[in-house]
Amino acid sequence: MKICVCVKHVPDTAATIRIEGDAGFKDSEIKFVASPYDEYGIEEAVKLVEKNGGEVVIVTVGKPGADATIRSALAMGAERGILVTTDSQFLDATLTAKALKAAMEKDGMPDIIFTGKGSVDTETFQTQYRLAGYLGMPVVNDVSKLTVDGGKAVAELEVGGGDKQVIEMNLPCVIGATKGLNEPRYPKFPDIMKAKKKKIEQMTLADLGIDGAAGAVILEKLEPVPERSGAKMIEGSVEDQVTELIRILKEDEKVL
Amino acid sequence: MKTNARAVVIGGGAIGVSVAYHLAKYGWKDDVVLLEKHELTSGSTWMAAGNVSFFHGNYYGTQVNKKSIEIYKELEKETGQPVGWHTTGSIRTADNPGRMDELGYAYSMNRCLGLDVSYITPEEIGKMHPFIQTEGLLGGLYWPDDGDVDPNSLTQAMAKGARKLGVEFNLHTMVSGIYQKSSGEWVVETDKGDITCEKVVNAAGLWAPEVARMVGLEIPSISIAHTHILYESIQEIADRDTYLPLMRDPDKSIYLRQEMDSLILGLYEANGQQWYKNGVPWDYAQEEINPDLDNISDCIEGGIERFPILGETGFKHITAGPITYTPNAEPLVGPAAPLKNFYNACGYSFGITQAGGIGHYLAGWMMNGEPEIDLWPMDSRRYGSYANWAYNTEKIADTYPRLYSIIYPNEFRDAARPNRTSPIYEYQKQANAVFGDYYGWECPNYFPPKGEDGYEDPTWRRSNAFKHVGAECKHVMEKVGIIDLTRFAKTKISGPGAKAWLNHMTCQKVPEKDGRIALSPMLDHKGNFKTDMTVSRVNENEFFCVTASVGKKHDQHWMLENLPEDGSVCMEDITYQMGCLVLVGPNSRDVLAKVAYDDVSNDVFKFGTSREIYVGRTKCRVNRMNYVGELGFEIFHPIAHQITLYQDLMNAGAEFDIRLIGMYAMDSMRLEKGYLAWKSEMNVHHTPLETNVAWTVKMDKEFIGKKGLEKQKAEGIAQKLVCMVVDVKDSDPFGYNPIFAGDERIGMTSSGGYGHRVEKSIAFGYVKPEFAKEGTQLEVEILGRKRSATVSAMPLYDPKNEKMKS
Amino acid sequence: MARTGILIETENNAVKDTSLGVMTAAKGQEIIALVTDADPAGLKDKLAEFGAAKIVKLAASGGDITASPDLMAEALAAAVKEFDLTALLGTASVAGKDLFARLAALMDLPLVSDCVALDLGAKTARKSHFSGKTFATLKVDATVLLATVRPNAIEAEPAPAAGEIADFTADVTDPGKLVIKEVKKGDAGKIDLTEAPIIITGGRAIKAAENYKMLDDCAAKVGAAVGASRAAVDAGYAPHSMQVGQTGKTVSPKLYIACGVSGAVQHFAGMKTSKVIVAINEDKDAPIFAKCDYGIVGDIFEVVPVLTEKL
Repeated sequence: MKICVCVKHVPDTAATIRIEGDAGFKDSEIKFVASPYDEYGIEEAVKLVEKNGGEVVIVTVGKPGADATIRSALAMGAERGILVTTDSQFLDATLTAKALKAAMEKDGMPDIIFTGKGSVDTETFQTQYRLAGYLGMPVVNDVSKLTVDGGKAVAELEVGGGDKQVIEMNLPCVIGATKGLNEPRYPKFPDIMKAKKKKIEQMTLADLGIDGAAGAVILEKLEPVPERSGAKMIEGSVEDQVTELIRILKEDEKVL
Repeated sequence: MKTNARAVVIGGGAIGVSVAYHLAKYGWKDDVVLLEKHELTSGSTWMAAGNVSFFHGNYYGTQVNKKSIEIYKELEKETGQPVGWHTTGSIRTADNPGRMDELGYAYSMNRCLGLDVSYITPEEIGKMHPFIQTEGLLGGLYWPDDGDVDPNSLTQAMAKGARKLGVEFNLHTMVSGIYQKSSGEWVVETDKGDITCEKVVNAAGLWAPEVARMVGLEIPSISIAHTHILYESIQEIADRDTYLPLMRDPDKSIYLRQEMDSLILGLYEANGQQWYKNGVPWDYAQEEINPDLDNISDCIEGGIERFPILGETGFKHITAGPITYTPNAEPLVGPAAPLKNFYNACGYSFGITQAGGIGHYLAGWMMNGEPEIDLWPMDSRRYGSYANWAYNTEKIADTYPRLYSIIYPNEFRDAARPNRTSPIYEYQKQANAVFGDYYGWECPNYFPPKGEDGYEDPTWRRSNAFKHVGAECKHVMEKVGIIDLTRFAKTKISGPGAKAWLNHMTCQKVPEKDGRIALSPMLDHKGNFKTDMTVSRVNENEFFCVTASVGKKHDQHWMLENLPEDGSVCMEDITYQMGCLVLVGPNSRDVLAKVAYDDVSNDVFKFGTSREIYVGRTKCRVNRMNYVGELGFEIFHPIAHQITLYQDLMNAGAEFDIRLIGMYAMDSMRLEKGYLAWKSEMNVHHTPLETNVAWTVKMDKEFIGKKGLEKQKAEGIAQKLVCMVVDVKDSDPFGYNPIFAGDERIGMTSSGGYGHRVEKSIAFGYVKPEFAKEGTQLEVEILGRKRSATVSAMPLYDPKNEKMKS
Repeated sequence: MARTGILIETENNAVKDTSLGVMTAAKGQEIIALVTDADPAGLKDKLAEFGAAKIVKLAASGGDITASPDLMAEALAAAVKEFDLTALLGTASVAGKDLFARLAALMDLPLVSDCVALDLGAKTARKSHFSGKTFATLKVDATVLLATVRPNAIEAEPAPAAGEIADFTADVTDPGKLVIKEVKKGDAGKIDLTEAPIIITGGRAIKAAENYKMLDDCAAKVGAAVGASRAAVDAGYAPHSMQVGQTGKTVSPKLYIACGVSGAVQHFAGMKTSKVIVAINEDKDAPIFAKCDYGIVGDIFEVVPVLTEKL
């Protein structure tokens, strides 16, 4: 069984995003990690291969430094990695999906493709669908439970309002993983050392015949969101305070 | 925001908050304002591991740690906010004899403070820490009272306490400039308005260099990424009902402590990454740095060797964050020279360990003018202008990875050297000098014979330098030598008020005649030693003052702070204009006579006098006195003439077998002569009345510290300086050795070493007066072993000064 | 006038408020409201009031479109062509995001997901990047603009229109890639912290593990999840799984109520993208008040029970 996991190299959630130019950010000094949801995909892939044999290949489209993120996935038990490099900080989802498809076709088609349910940087929530579309595969997202047996996958996923669906599909398929699917393992030091020796094949978008400038969604401007500047304090007796709070939350903020 | 305050503290990390809290607590209450450009803890505090232990490389740092622990244990009671303190105990291991000696040093030094510390065997360590692999360990030290604290809770607790006392906390308030008004008041400019205040504290951590730059200072602090690893939970730890002790294996450059049901491994890797060398961005706040696994893997492997479970446990989180480092990893604390009422509290790489203690001590220092304990090891004035950005960059690259290395007392690391050199540096090199660095100066420690190894083995015991130093001492005793003391701090004091002012500054009487020299201690307001200087009277309105090189900034700062505002006294630093070569030994006069144009005979040029004479073509100020106790001349000269002067002296001295002499020989000889050393015998804990320079105190005049001395005279002294001869074979005393009479600890050594002329191991120390009598049998504990010691006459060598006066 | 389709979400045969906001995002356009799971007649008044020129009941010849997201996507693609839409918008709900991504892949058109603002004329959209730390303005180069809009991000405004009812049955079949085997109704009891719309967190001031019941009771009233601060976890009052913050979970609910949480930077790292943050703390100087939206100074043991009662 061959499984590809698409992993995105993203700034750590705690990193400060310092805007650079109109539509860029300073990415040289901040911490990057694998997009957290992708880790559920990595873990699931590794577990499946541990059970059924085969190999897990990490496929990443990102800036050249993204190999560090691939290494962290290799430390979790993936076999090898493919890095499609781009100079862009924000590659359009369509181009990303095309690059993933081309890289996989070049490497040999997998039986299952995992992605995270979405990336925490651009939050576009669509690359896995486009990839599935280009490859003609079924796709489900937000998957919190999965069984793979005899050429079929059965996924459980949230469809809104706390409701869940159990969906069956044939392999090969694309699975967007989310929390609950598993507990991603913490790599042990020997695994990290082993990962350093694993192979990461690098290629550029151009090598795959993709024009990085051809995206249809262009980031025009990136602006920081201002921090909150202090609470509105609610005064009075406990009764009054609570009554006023509920009123605010219901009427002003509409969050209740 | 307030527009006026007594004190403004810049920086809301553990250190700044503690200083503000203690200032408020000791009485300044709501007259204290704290400014923080982001949130509390967002610089380095947030990523601290929170270890708090007694162990520190020096005696005073250990006291600061001790104070912190006392404070942390009480803080919850006082503020109502828990600090997450756990008493876990801690163990520091050793896997080689040098490390065992270092532990011995720490053991004995800790016992000077009465701390609970004990040696433990590898078997005992194994019992206390079930995960350790003890193979290769020789032993360790165990401190049962050490523990850890939650750095954030700690900071919040002190902030809560401070707020209760009225301290105004201004978060999200950015300092944009600081200036001093002609009145002496400081104005701190911020984006929320200006505050006028009496005192400013730079506790800006990562940004302390930027804040210092606002007042024109360059301070040696750089940020480095420090990494620690949190492991996933470990069932065996979850199942335990007691905390594991904090483990430090310095030989593997790691520490390991329990965190909840898991472990944190901290490392000091070989190639510490400097982070934002040229200044941390102002908008940085509590953000992790990309950990560099390649860089830390050796340390992790070391950790796994010592604690095999770490190889079988996943990394839950690797935290890399910036912490500040100074060239020697000690912080920068106290008055910032040359400014008045501006204080540093920064450069901390172990801020959680010391936040409580340093807040207490610095607050006291700011409020009383003097520190409660001698904080010289962390005083920011220990660095001169040589400690600039480039020096710091090179030095820290060496210091960080060796943070857990054994700090041998005789080790002078190569990094960032040479800086300042005497003009005769190349001659010293040719003479096979083994150099040390002192306040940025390259100074020969000793001169092994040509062909011998030019490297001193680092050790806590007598080194391979021992016999060469002995040869130098004998040479000075029998023939003549030159000691380069170019690094001496030299200050010219002049003006119509000079004499009166100097009389106010020292307890000694300022010379009444031109050409007279006086050994002149300067005291603090309590009568304790501030420093000690040699004052030569040039004329009625001009005095030539010499102080120790390493104390230059400290001493000149003290003088500057006290300089009259009416302009009647002019103070001029001439350190870098004037060099000093000390010509010393029974043949020194013969050599000088050969090259001097002036008469240097004993009748004309008497001991204890100073003359301006021509030595060859070099016009020099020569003091007939020295620090080694032989006939000798301190020849001060324009630094540009040094090589000429040196060649003249060497040529003239050839027939007397003249040679260069190093610092080690000088220190050995000064011990034999009972001469005191600054910050060893002369520190803020002692007055001259406790020592053999009580004769310099002239109570028939007014001077700073007189009241304190009057009080001490009335009450009687509690300690007395003694000279002891110690029975040792290879490990001489050094200072901070506890002194025992039977089982009772009755004092502590201040310095020590081997006297090659008298062939005895010597210790100076302060003891209770009843034990100061000559012949009293005591014990001095060196590297964990008690050695018998006999109180002896002081000095041991030439008590009548016949040689110097000859 | 350009024609924009809006995919309407309903609940109990009524238009969800969130869909009305999406309609407002298309203000000034000829709006075609696409209804898939309710009788359009029952929705007519509301949809017409908020700007629907036409209300189309969408169906597919190949089966029940509500039973298959792929079939729904096929039907929507057909509707785009049928009505000559220049834009199609929906709600960024779990289902909406899924459906629009399928549609975008099917039509190979660009999609902007989870917008907070839209300019259909300029074809620009504004959305969060980096967990709420920045806003991005995106320019879309496409014949048909596909976008989903974050719930409640755009206030619904009435803009009366004809609301003419029509049917459209697309001639499409399900590609048959997915077979829905089972639908599980949500367990209303336990709500995942990271997904919860409302979170109530207890800090160190909670004082004991059993006191979390007080927060559970309050949470049950509004379908909230209960979290804990690191200090509370360290003190042993709550399991690590409940921890919000740097070493715990990162959450982004509509409403975050912090009870007795001091407000360490570490805690904020895990919840600052919440829409509204309320803090209840006895200490008026607690740092949390500097960075939240509403604050109540008071003892949580007095305030929370009253809150529970009044909710």
